[in-house]
Amino acid sequence: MVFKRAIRKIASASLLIAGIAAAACPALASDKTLRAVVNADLKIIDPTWSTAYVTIRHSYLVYDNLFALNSKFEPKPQMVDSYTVSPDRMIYSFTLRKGMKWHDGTPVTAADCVASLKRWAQRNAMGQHMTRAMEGYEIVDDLTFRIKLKEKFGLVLEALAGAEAPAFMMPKRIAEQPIDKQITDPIGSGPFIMKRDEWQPGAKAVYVRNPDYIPRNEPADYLAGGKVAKLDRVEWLYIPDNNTTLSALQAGEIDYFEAPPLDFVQLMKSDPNITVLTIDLLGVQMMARPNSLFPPFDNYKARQALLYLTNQAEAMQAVVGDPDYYLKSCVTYFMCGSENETKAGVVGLTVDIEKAKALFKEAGYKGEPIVVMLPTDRPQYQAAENVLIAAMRKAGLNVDVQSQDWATITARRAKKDAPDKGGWNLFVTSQGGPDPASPLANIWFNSQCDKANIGWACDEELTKLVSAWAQESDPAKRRTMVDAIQTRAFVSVPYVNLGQYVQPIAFRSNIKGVLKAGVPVYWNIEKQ
Amino acid sequence: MINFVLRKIGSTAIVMMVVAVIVFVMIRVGPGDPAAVIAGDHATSEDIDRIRRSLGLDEPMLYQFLHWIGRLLGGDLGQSLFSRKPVLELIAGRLEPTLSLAATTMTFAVCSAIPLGIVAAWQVGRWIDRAVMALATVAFSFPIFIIGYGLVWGFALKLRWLPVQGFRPLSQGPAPYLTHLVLPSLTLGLVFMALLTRMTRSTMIEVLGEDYIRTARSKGLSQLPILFKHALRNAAVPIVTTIGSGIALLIGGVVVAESVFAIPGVGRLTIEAVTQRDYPVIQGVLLLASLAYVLINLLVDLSYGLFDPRIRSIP
Amino acid sequence: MTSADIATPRLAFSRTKRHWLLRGAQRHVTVVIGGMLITLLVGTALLAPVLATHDPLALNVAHRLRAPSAEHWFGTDNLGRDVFSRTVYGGRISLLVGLGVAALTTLIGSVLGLLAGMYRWFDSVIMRIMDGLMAIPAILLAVAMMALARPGLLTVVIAITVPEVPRMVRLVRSVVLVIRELPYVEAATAIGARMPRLLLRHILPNALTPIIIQATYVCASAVLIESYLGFLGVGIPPEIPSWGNILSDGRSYVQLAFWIIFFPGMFLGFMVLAINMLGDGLRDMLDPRLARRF
Repeated sequence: MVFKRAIRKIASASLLIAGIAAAACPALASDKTLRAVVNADLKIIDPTWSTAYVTIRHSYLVYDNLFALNSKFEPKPQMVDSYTVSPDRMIYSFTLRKGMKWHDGTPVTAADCVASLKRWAQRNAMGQHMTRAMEGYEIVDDLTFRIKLKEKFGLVLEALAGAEAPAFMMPKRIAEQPIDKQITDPIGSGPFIMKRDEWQPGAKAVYVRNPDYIPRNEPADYLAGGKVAKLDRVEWLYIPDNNTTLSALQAGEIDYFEAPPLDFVQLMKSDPNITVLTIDLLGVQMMARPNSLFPPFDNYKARQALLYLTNQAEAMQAVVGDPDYYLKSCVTYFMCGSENETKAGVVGLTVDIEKAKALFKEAGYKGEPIVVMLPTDRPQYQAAENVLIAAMRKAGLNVDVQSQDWATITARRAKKDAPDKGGWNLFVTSQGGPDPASPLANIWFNSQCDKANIGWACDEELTKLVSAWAQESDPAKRRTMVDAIQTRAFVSVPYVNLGQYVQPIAFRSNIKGVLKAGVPVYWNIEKQ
Repeated sequence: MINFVLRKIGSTAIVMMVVAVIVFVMIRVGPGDPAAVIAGDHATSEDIDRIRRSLGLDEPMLYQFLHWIGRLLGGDLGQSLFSRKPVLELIAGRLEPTLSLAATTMTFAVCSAIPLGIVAAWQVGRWIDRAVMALATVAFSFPIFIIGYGLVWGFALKLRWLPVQGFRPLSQGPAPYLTHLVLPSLTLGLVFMALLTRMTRSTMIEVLGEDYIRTARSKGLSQLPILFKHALRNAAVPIVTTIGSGIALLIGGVVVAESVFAIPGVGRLTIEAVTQRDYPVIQGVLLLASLAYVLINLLVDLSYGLFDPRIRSIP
Repeated sequence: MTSADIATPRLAFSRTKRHWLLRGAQRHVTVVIGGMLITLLVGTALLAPVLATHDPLALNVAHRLRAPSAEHWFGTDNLGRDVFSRTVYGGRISLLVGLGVAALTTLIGSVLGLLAGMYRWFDSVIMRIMDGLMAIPAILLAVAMMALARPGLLTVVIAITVPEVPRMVRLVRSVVLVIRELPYVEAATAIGARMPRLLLRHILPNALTPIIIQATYVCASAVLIESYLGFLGVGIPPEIPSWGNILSDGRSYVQLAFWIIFFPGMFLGFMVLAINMLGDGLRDMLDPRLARRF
């Protein structure tokens, strides 16, 4: 009796739940809110603090730039209305567009922009180069300021328009905070405003349309042109499980999947409700970074040997899978498809075990363990690294694979200790966008020894060649100089290019106007 | 009774001190550096050093510990090293999903396990008992995420009855709130149900063998009052204990379920804090989770009095 | 995870009046099925080098994500590794983790539990620490330990053991407390038996039954937790195949290549099931009151 009653109760309860479910499911929002799943969790909102991509992408929503690249990678004015360059190219004068406002309603002034540039230049490599060549800034009036050089520097506009670590403009009172104090107030003048009270690190970040934003009149082109916000609201969700994200996109619970694993592409393409689009004209360069401080890789011959253990096609197949999304071979240091792509001086990048063995012998390698850091939580790095490790073992190297999570690796790789005392010999990372295409902005290419990025590549001759290139403003001469730079780089080998691939994005097919801007940006997107 | 409560609270305080020390030492001794994570993939060693200094992570460990304890006694758990938001605010923002998931899971598990356990005990050795036991053993032998993926595939992708992932706060209405909780609590509840069913069954079997039950039977009382009035009442204490100790199991399971269903709860907060080495957040969450566990078990201890008058008299 | 269903001393010394014939029949079923399953799974793990059709570590990126076929019985994973070979080799590691954790937990738990049960001053100190450890949720504690130490098999075993120890200590301690009040132990104390002798001769043998039963549940629990750690990305390093990290590698591919997680998942589930069934069977069989009736 009791059981029958209980069963009846359970049955009616499940009916109720099913009813609620049926009522709730069709109520999918058709408003102008874009639900996007981004590749990482937004933790830091200060673009001068973190080089994390997610922070830069957040900044593109909230901030605006003085200049931005168009699809030919030429710097075009964005916040700047007009600019002049003196005939000797030593004075750059900029006038801002009229009527621009910060998110707090105050007008954008030249003083704000100079303060922002100063903040940016303290951290950014291109900014540091520019500052060294500069005499100073001069604020002419509310909307006009000048950059005065004391040495030749041919890349002022390129520096201001850098794509992966651009100079974002913010109010003076925020930009003038000490550089070691993190900005917590995301006020910019960009097309979207961050709702800081709705930001839940680890779960979501929310942006709403900036009603005061005045877009340029030109159509949007890469990062340049008019930034027209057509969405009322952008919700960034962080879903750590890729499979869950895929299911959510298929079910229409989210609109936009920023970095789907490339294996999902075929499955998503077969779904008429999902569009897969490549927005990145260049792509991502995967690389193996040796530590130049310790044997065997303190000897350039050992670094050269790595070139003979690299099979880009195999590494990319392991990382990407779908051959539509990677290049079988991309030998240049400066991104295939960019203006600086060159085949000059290429050595290796095909597997030749005997040659590699010989080079290691010449480098004085005697079988000491080579510490390779394998990240447990970055599957793409893991895949590329596994292919390289297999080749290294084939060449008889004593590879000591140390698996750690990425947080441990980032801390460990910054240490200059010997590999057997907590240091390291090799790790894999990647960089993307137009920046690696420039010998100066490619931070892993920087070979200034102690001042170089982690791994401390050290080659004075290469550094001299790069500085000379940066001072030159004639495109034809710069082109031949790039060839010389790359030829030298294949001797000193700051890092090994493991291949280049593109990361497409996926979205529901009712989303229109997604820009091919290299980085995912949210202006111009419509939801129908 | 008051004496008992006071003593319990005293020992709770000691336990919490022990937890605080274990957590702090364990976390700080490990490798990894939040400054390196903050600086990002393309930072230089100098960037990392600068950030470390500005976060005060270069101070001696003992100083950092005393500093943390000092603020803790004032009720301040500190700030996240990353977002600079107060730890308490971060945790508070994650409580609703986790507590909701725990509550629905528990409700589902208790409401299904106790009847199942009683039926199994009553029908001990018959096919219904076998079936219940088989279900219970199988349900807690398979990993939660496998069960979860299976349920999502069936109910969310194929049948489209329920959402795949996410959480909707109750403030957005009860319907989305409940529909988003069905699959996660079912996934998690199966394991917990299995555990409780086994416990209920074995306790009930034992109680049903006691003299007073036989007396009741011989007096000619019918089955149901015996089962529910006499037996269940006497089996209540061990069952409640299991529910209490199951809280720790539940919290562990919640962590996994939150990952599968992308529920922004406390578990996910912890996992992310651990992978990023956000020390104040890890410390805060572990401390509060332990506090919750200790308090719940305190409540469980006190609730014995409700079920078993004999315990009430023990000082 | 399963160990909350512990064989409390009450079970070993309870006045159970279940129908022994029924229990006997049931015990046979569970022990027979559990035993068969375990033999099968342990057998495949031990014979992994013979059974494996491929090198479990060999990459073959040209053959990635292949469905099960005559060449790859369980298909291949995202790096083209053979899932069948990885599963049988992975069984070894998962079993090793299970047994390692069970052994370590039993050892540490029994020693601490016996001492806590025998010496009052030790009791209060050790039990406070155990309460503290028990208060921290087991998976979170293990995750924190894993992320914060160098990953490896031993680290995993330790990380899973630490949260399991308090339960074992509590169990052993409570058994000791019950036994030391029994007439024959009191008698032994009265005629002047020393503590160490008392421990070894009288108390330990009596406490053995619940310890062994608890150990089987710890073993099952450890195999499961290893897979959760793998799932959360803090398990055994990826170059060693274990069920946990095969499952964690495969989780992104559930829709594309379900076989990567389906087969090891089934192996894992059946292994845990078998150990649990054996535990249930042992509990019935070793229960001294029941045993005496046969």
